[in-house]
Amino acid sequence: MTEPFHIHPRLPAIDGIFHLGPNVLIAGHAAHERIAEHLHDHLPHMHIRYGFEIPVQSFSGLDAAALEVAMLVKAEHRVDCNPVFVARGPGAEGVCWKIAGQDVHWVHDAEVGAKATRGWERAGRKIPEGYRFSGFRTSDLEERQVRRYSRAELQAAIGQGVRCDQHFQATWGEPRPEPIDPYEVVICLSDDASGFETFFRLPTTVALGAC
Amino acid sequence: MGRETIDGATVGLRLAAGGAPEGKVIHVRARRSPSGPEQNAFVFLDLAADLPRARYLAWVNLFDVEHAARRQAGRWRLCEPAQAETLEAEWRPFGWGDAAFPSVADAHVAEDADAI
Repeated sequence: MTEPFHIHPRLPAIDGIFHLGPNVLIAGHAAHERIAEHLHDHLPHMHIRYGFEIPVQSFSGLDAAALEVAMLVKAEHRVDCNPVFVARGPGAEGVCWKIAGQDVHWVHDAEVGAKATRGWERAGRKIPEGYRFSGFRTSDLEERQVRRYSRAELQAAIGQGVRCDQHFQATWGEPRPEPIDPYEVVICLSDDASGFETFFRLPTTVALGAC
Repeated sequence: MGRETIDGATVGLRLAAGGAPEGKVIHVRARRSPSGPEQNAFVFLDLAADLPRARYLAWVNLFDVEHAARRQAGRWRLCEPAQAETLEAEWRPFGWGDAAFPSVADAHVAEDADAI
């Protein structure tokens, strides 16, 4: 029997990447200077940021798995995932988390978006009109093929537990000069093997007492 | 807006109904002027005008070209390996008219491939 693949959402812990300060989960930015790994610095964009923890676990019964993420965003926006960051690098850059010796990247996957939609609605929740879950799975470095990690690769990368920050950037699907007003984003984390999923909400302003 | 030199590599082609290229998806390799496209941006080059017109795309990698080809079969083609080129174009940073392209954002909301 496969044990659930546990991932726990957390507040982000690494400040300064992409010029985002403490407890900023959602931020609207105009086009700005080039920052490595920042996909949409040349367009009006909205940052989406959170932390997560993968605790030590056995991965019992798991041969391999791809990690999944879906985010509830406005239909006219597209979202792209940055690599997972484990530290801040030079300036506003991030240092990427590696599994099996490679930076963890993400590729769009409509099936993950549909899966998150089903999970959301299973609890009686409705998708607000004009919104949709945009889904991703872990990918190769070119972000073209889904990358599944073996149990041994996951154990080696997670060890006694890891703590990471994840950044996404939403931009207009059809580029427009208008800024994107920040809005609340719901995130779903899951994997393609164990059936685990967790939903959490990123407010535009973190509530007092949340950290 | 104005004439800019675009230094990049063609990673995809937009094809007319007859199969002739009518546009290019270019990965910008170097920023050539303060007003021109940014390094690593993806731009669409419209070849229909006398002076090609270029504008930003929200796309970020080859996956997007492949996605467009799935959405509109026969209208998009991947260029592998990418073909380096430097060209002059009228630069329109945020697009014009009603031009619309498949984006990954509409991957599962539009069952109708024409409803882009």
